[in-house]
Amino acid sequence: MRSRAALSAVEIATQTGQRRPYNRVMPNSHDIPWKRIAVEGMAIVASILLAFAIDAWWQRRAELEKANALVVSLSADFQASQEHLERWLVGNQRIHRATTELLDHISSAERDKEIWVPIELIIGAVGAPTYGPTDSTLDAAYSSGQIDLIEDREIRSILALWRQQLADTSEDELLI
Amino acid sequence: MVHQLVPEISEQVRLAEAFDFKTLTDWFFDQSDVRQDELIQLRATTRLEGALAERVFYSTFVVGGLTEIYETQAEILRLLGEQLNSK
Repeated sequence: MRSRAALSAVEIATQTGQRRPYNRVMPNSHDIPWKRIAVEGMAIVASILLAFAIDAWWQRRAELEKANALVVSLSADFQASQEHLERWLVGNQRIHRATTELLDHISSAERDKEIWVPIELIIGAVGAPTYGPTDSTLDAAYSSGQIDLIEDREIRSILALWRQQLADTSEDELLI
Repeated sequence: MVHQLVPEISEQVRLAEAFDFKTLTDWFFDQSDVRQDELIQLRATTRLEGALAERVFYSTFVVGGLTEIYETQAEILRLLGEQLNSK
């Protein structure tokens, strides 16, 4: 047991049933360093906001890098498709011309008569090529949702148009 | 030199209703000694005319469609190039 002298005023008050000497325990409101607390609070809020800003900036930067990589890859695919399509177009124009000329020969002949036609027309008219573009990047971008990385509405719109044109022409190709 | 259609094809040509463009194509791919400056004998049947007309009809759409795709791809390449150059 400690001597009374060693006990604090609070302990004495507690033991003797007296009210706590409140004004001795709680500091006077004038003594609270409001200014310092406010500055520290603002510093904490500012640091949290800064962290959010850095995180958003970092995410935006990562998205831009991904978008750029997607555009580079799409560009390479469409470049390959364009070179491919140039040859495909020439092939289909040849088929159309030769078939039209062959039809002219048949149409102008008497029904069921045997006629002689240049065999080059048969060579030109045969075949049924179907155009298959290099579209793996675009397909993957659509299925993964990464197409949203391209913010340019004009590009997204024309990519959708291209897919529709491709589907329409593929249907016609099957009918030849 | 001229090519007579091989007997089975000739027979199909005579039976006009059995002849179509696929038969003609199949016959062509079976030939190994065909030269472009030669002639081939065909029977001008209504069925062959119909098959050719159908092929002309659809190939018109295909050529038109591919031309549109070509132009769209050119525009896509231009826009993608602008996008890359703007960064």
